[in-house]
Amino acid sequence: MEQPSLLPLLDERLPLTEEKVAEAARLAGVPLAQAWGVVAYYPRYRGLPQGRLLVDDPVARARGFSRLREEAEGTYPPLGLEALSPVYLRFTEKGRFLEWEGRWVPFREFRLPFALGRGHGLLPPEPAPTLAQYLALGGLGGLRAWKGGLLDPGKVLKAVEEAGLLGRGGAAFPTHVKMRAVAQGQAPKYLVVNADESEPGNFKDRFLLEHHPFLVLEGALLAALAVGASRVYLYVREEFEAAILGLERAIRELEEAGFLFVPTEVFRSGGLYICGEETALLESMEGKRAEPRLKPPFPVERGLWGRPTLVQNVETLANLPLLLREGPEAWRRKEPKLFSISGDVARPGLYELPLGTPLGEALRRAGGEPEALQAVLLGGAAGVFTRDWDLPLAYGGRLPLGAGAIVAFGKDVDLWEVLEGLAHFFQEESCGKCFPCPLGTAVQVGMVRRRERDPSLLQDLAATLRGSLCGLGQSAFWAYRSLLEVEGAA
Amino acid sequence: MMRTTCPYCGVGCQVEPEVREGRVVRVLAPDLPPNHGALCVKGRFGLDFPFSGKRLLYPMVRERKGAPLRRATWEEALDFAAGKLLEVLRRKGPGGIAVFPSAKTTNEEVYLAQKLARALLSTHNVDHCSRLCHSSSTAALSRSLGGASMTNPIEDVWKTDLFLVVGSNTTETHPVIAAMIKKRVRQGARMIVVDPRYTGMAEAATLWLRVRPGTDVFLLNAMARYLLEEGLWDRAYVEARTEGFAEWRASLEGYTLEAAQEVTGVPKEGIAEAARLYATTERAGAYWAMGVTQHTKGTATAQALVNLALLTGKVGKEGAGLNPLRGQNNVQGAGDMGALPDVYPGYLRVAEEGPRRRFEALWGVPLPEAPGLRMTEVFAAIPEVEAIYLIGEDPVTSEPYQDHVKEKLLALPFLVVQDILENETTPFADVVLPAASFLEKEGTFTNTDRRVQRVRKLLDPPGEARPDWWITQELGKRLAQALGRPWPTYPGPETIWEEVRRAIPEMVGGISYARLEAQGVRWPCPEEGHPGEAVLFREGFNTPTGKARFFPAPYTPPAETPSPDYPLTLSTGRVLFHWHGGTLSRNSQLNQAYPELKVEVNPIDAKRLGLEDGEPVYVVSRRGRIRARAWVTERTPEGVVYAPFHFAEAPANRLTLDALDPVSRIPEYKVSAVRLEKAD
Amino acid sequence: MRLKVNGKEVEAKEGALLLEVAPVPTLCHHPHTETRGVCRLCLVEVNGRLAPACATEVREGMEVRTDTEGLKALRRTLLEWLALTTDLSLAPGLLGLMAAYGAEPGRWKEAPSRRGRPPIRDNPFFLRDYAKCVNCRRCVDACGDGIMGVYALTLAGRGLQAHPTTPLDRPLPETPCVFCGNCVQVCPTGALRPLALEVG
Repeated sequence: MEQPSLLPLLDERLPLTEEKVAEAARLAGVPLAQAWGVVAYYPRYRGLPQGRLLVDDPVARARGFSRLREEAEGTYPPLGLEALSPVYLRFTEKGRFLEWEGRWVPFREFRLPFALGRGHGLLPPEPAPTLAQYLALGGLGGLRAWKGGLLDPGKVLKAVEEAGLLGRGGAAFPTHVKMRAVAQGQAPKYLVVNADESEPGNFKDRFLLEHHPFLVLEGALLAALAVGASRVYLYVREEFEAAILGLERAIRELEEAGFLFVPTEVFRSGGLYICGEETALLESMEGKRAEPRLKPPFPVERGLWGRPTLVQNVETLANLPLLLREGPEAWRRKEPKLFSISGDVARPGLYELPLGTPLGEALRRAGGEPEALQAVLLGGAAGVFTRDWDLPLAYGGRLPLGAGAIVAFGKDVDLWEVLEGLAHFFQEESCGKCFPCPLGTAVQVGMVRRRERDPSLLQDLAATLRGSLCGLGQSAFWAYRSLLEVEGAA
Repeated sequence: MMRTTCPYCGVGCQVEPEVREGRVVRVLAPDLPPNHGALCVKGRFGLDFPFSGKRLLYPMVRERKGAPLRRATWEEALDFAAGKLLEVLRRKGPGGIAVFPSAKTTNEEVYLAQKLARALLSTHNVDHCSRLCHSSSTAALSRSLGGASMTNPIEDVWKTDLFLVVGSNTTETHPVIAAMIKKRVRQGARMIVVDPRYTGMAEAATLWLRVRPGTDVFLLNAMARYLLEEGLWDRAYVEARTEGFAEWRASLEGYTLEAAQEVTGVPKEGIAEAARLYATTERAGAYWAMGVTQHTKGTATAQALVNLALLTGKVGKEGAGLNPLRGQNNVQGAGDMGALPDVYPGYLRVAEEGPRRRFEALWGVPLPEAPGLRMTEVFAAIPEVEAIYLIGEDPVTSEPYQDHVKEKLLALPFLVVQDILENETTPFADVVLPAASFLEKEGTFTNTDRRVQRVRKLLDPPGEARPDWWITQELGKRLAQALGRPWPTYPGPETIWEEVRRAIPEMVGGISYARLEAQGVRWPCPEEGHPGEAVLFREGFNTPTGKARFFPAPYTPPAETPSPDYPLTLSTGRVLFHWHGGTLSRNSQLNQAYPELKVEVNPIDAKRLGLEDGEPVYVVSRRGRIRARAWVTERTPEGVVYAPFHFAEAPANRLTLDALDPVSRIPEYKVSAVRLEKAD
Repeated sequence: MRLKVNGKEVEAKEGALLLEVAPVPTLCHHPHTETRGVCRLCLVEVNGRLAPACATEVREGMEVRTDTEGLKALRRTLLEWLALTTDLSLAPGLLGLMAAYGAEPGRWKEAPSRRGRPPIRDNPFFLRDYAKCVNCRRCVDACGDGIMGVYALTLAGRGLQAHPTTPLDRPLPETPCVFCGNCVQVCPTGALRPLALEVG
């Protein structure tokens, strides 16, 4: 880090006292005011909840939330466990555990079952936690080519451009545009891998990080080399402890094998939904409250510590080795995309499907019969309810795809209860920086609770939230509005 | 809302006090220079002193020594004062009287007071509190550059890439300028701070040099010598724009980095780095205050700064320059208006014929040729000096060696005190004249960067208090009648200002009240269309040759050094919440934030004495002792205690000594030998 | 350069903000602080996209609308939400805007409130009454980056509960506060106000 970052300094000192906060501030070279603002922002610095906690995700909301809630002392935000939902956690002085198959599994040992992943192309057929296994699966071709002088920045950028790779984090922005902008920027430059997956319903990045760390790292290193980044940071959701350990091990192995061409490290995330917003993410890395920045300037111009920074989603980067191996033409024909399918389907899991696959077909692949479903939530909390089974799952279509979450709801699910969970989620996760979002998400909770259907109120709610500073607030009413549409169509 | 000028410090912030039912309930700052909306605690919350119960509400006289002060009418008091002054004049001649105009009053009032001294009493015994603050800077700047003020405007902060701040606790004494400088540093500028204390500026500095008190001149000379050795000086500038270089250069012989490290306690690498940074940054500005000037070598220290700036070509350029930060609201104006024993308004020399002729013509009187006595010399000359007309000043609190000052005041046959509030000097007065505060009159103040700004009347004065200009004019009228000299009746401050414009058109000829309505205007401003000069000496200097002159600036040890009986060094100064003698701030709600004297003691010294933070302690010097509360802090270095001088009940100046700088006659407030004793 | 504001051509200097040429209400923006883009009251439509006028520079040929139905609804709704959650009794500017936009907070029926926060009187000079605070951050900026560089104020909490506080939530005299009152001057809602106003 160019400057010592406050968050790791605080993390090292947990549980915090006033003296420890002051010490961390001194070491980071920031005013105590800034450190206190940070401590009073991120939940983990104020002490985590203890006891049995229900993971409050859309699937749990659909399975009789109030009954499930009765068996827990509190709730915890979605954790990429929707395919296994409902899930209970145990937070004790000894650590954080997940209740799984009758055992308490520590976070650092828990990975999504490998069997949840279905696909071959982007998703390798076997887990590859070690370099040897990754090599056995034919991995590391890209970095070897680089080492052998067969690849250079121009070739990588060209391939990415010709493939037309769009960002897989939800915004679907052309990857080469960002890469070229950073490539043209002045050093030092950075690559930040956005591995802060926290959109309810999504678990694709979690799965990749837990089972294919080398694939992610190879993609990240190729991108870093292509744009001339002097350092790679993996900003990983801090609850993904097993993934973090695996990544750190993988980084060491790559370094020992002489393939870590750009210094790479893991940064434990701030632990909030908003940390996935790229500028809020950068703020948290700089030791500040994870609040979105005004754009422009965009991170490609002024990112981490004000330097040109490429922020890319895990899945986007994981595509690079495949794309370079098979060539843009071949890759383009597949256009692989990972869909996290959960809820009322027979085989919830992570499905690798070509972009454009109709929604109904995707559901059937997961053992869900569209006609038996009431609706799906497409894209996550920042998504929409729909029953348009013919909808092609592609970017730029009628409905936003987000990062590819599909949560299916059967006929007897109370969708308003699911929506209430989403509204509650937005209210909890609003950072409070701009005005529309904290006010609007709080007002929305009341509206959803009383099943408000007044179109003029909903229209004004939408018009106002639309003016929020970042995507969190801007999308917070989508699900609400879409539910009324689904209701109307039914 | 009415806009006026803050009556504290030399920044000259523009303020808009909101008055409700005769009280100031809120103070806002307009988006105008110099402060552009910002204020410090004094301007924001300290403008309530005019409502203090200690306001002087009616004139008082003491008919003979030993009698109590009694209430009098204005007629009585003024007749009595005039009669006594005339008596002294007849008996002792002009040398028996001194007039001290106040740097807290307006330009118009200062002008009138010095005119009263010169034109009616025929004396140049005129001086003001600058003698105690920046007289050293004035002396050095005048002889080297031919001008005594900041060479650069405050807003040049935004163009400065390196600040060299010497002996200025700017965050507490000029907080609004400090905030600007600190913001500029946050934007990437660098700052070197030379100070024994870990001040707010030291905290914000890129490089802090913790000098031993009173050794700054050695450090500055060593920087100059190092730059000469390294060839890091501006030869072209020195050749084209200066003189006296060779002689000065020869004087630097002994000032090696090694010797400097020994004397100042600053590692030689730090001194070299500071020199390098200053010399190699194009836009580097020097800022300083009392840490430089209040020494027996104050003039030498200011001179060393001037020399360093000339050597590196920093004068006459944007974002650079030599910038003494002036302490009182109108101390710049008081000097400009001639409240000095050797110059008329506009710094025209008393000893020269041209200026004398000019003022003789303007005032219609013959004027004396010899310069008068300086303030510190006047006190020393009592009882040869028999009468003092003292305006807005509290020498008992502000002069060094208080017991001695009190003796002198007791020995003074006649003292006229004109002030807005009762203070420590009032009990010594023979006539007390109650004055109007800044909220209760019209006029102008001139701030530290030479900006003339309006003072506006928002309220009527309480009781029988009257504006200073009215009082001086009435006193003058009586003297003029008796002496048969001309003394016009001015209907108000604007008429007085018009006379100032006629007197020194080269300085303020272009500054009219009408023009000041919009915002303040900086001098020199010779005519109406002139915008006012921001950066001085762009082309030439105000010296006979047009060149700036180097002067040797020798280091000498302090007058009093620590001894086994008095092992600590006392440094005095100010704190954020108070101002000078405390007459204003201690009669304001500011006092609630800082109600009693705290002396800063280094933890090592505290431990040696078994002293805990917050414990009562006596500070004792050869001249007296005061009681204070110990503040155990790293802010002050080992061996040094720091005491603010605002507290009448625990006056730091009871401890200080009256050793003076040979050139400026400033006292050595920053170094005296003391010891601490635990109190119970 | 020339641009169009609500269909009318206007002339603007290069580097000027839209705020200077477009008639919009503001709240978080203040000439002495660096806060901008927070309150969203000054949002305008630039070639159809929303942009804060306080943080957007003019560009040649821009088409700016300040008064679309959507923008009017946004401002009206925001004001209603503020009134619903916050004590605006000492914010004449906001009350004026509410009247101008025909705000009816009651139509939203319920919302969490910030009104319950007790006033904090911890220094001789001014009051901190966060029941009236809309969290515009002008005070925090004036204390820190914007003007003073003192950093005696920061923000606590998130979402609607985010509000200014001091380091370690200490009384102001125990913080680096220098009581310059620049925070008081820039406060738009009377949440920070001189004690002298209270007794008078």
